[in-house]
Parts: sequence; structure tokens; C-alpha cells
Amino acid sequence: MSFNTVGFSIFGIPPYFFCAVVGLVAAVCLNIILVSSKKYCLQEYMKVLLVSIISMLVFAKLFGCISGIYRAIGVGEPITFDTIKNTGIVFYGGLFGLLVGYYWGLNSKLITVKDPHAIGVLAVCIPLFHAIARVGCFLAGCCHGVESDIFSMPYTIMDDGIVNTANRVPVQLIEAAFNVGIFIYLFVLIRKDDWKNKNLLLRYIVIYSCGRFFLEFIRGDTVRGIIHGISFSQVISVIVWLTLLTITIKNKSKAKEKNI
Amino acid sequence: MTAILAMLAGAGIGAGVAIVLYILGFGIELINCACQIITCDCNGGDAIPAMWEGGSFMSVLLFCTIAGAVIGLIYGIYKMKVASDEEARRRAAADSEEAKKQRIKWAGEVKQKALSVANTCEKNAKDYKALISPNYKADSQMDTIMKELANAAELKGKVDAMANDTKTKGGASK
Repeated sequence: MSFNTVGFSIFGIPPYFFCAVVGLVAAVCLNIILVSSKKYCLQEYMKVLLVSIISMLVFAKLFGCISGIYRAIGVGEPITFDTIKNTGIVFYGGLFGLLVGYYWGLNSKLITVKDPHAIGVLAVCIPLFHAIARVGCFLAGCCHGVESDIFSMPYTIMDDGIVNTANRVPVQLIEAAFNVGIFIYLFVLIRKDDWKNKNLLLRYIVIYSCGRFFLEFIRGDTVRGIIHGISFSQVISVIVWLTLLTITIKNKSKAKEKNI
Repeated sequence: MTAILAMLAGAGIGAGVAIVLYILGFGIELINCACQIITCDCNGGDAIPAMWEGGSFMSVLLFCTIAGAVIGLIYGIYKMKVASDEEARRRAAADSEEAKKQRIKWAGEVKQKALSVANTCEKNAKDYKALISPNYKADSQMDTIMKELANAAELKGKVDAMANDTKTKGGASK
């Protein structure tokens, strides 16, 4: 089985855009259903979601700009305006933007009855969107895997204006499957009565960052930058772990102080 | 109706998003052109992206409109469902309130009947004249008894005296 991404489109629409929008529609619809089933105010939470989607786009591009600097450092190029301008979007940036926007929304006047657990509903929707969007990556030829003879397929991409065909690991599809797995796991958890005690967002971030860290080793594109074999997303994953570890230790010490 | 309105609103928002994306894309292209002019990079190859080619704008516009409509439709359906649930809950509460009122009414009626019976009983009790006075008149009765006892003692004394006389005097009396 082989796949040629050059000139591939779905109904005349670029495949990444198509899948991203389909993923967004699926995730937003799921969010509507979950928000409604968990007895939250649908109108209020839709406003919060809208704000967080705008924040997601801004942060995704912002992290893209930072990844441009990371790449320039990695290849030893001078950092210029083009370094920042000629960059794409980064999933981690979008994720942080979404969470920042959602947290802001949950604590703003947009919500009358505030519940910090409501972000767990959002956590279930994120991997669903991401899984579908990653299929779009595969169809568009971006974020491709490394060249390999095992677990690979002939894959044609456009690289710097040159058509390149090679046996590559379909890392986008692997990540899509990984996201589907996370989605199913979180969906099962949120259907339970005690879902608020499950800390769905924390589970999602920990599982995804671990998976992403290892998937980056079989990712072949260098557009987001690599320094000493460590990609931009791996650095972000490590920062995420350290942040979560710090928060956990702080929370535990606070709990101990309270017990004393 | 709500679902259809929400679907139309969603479609409108979707179309708006598609147009905004193109405006943003065009704006960024203008910035690119400006950058190329400033940096004298006349051979910049990213001035005309694929998004402007052929009928891609119409495809994206249509696709975003459909996507917005789908989200709007789902939102509208669930908004209707929430409203319907709210109405059912309100109706149930109203029914419950009605039942409570009915129970209060019945309780009032029962209370009124009980009060009426109690009044009748009280009235009858007042009007009832006992054949034997229920009040124990201790003083007058006791007086009578004491008098009777005193009379009895006096009579006994007389009888005893007469008996002694008879015994001592042989039956002759003075």
C-alpha cells in the first residue's frame, strides 16, 4: 500500500483543513452532548468554548513561532524575522491555548455556576479532535515519519518543492490511533458517576505527553526543529512532566501541612 | 424551530469563519509582500498560496458553512432538549405543588369535620343531665350519716338502760 500526498485534496479542499474541521465539528458536538448530559449550562459553556478556541489558534501559532527559533538554533542559522514568520502551528501550543482560554472562561463572568471539574469534559474532546486532525496530517504529507524498512509504507510528499517518495513510518496514523485510545479511555471514565474524582485532564496530559515523547523518535520531519536529537515537542513534554511533578509535590506538602 | 434557527446561525457563523480565514490569509500575504519589499526579496515564492487557486474558496466556504450548520444543528437539538427537560421538571414541580395543595385542602376538610364533631360532643355533654349527680356532696351526706349514727348511738344507750333496769328491778319500772 502506498500513498501520494502531492496534490491530494478532498472535494477540492486541502486534506489537513478538511480533517481539522471535521475533527473540530466532532469534538464540539461531543462537547455539546457531554456538557448537556452533565447538567452544565449549554449556552454559557459554548461561549467559553468559543473563547478557548480563539485562544487555541493564537497559542498554536505562538508556539509555532517559538519552534522556528528552536529550529534555527538546531541548524545553526541566525534568528531573523523569517525564522518566526515562516512557521506553522504546534499542537502543544494549541492545547495550552485551549486550556488557558477555558480556565479563564470558567473563572470569568461568562459562567454563573462555576465548577473547575468542567474542564474534564473538554479533556475528553481534545483527543477526538486530535485523532481526526492527525489523519489530515497523513493525507497532507506533513508531520511524516522517519524512513524505515520495517513497519513502513511508500509515501510520497512534497519537501521544499521537491517530490520525495520513500518508505516511511506512518507516524501520523500511529498518533491518531493513540489518540483514539486515549479518547476511549477518557470517555469510559467520564460516563462513570464519580468522574469528577478522576482528574481527566491530568490523566490526558500525562498519557499524551508520554506517548508524544516516544512518537517523536519515529517522526522524520525536522520542520519544528531538533537540537541534539531532541525535538521541540519532546522539550515541551519534559517541561510538562516537570510542571506536573512540581504541582503534585506542592499539593502533597500542602495536604501534609493541613493534616499536621 | 430552535434547532433550525441554531442550524442557520451555525451555517452563518461557519461561512463567516471561512471568510475570516481568507481575509486573515490575505492579510498575512500582504504582510509577506510588505516584508519582501522591505527586504528587497522580490523572488519570494509564497505570495500566491494554493488557497487562492481555482474554486478552492467556494469549496472551503461551502465546507465551513456545512460544518457550522452541523454544529448549530446539534447545539439547537440539545438546547431544545434542555428546554424540554426544564419544562418537564417545572411541570412535575407544579404537579407536585398541585398535589400538595390538594392534600392541604383535604387535611383542612378533615380538620373541619373533626372540629364539628368535637363541638357537637361538647354541646351534648353540656346539655346532658345525669340521673345521679356526678358531683359527690361529701359534707351534707356526711352530716346525715353522722346524725343517723348519733341517733343510733342514742337509741342504743336508751335500749341498754332499759335492759339494765329490767335486770336490776325485775322488770318493774318507775
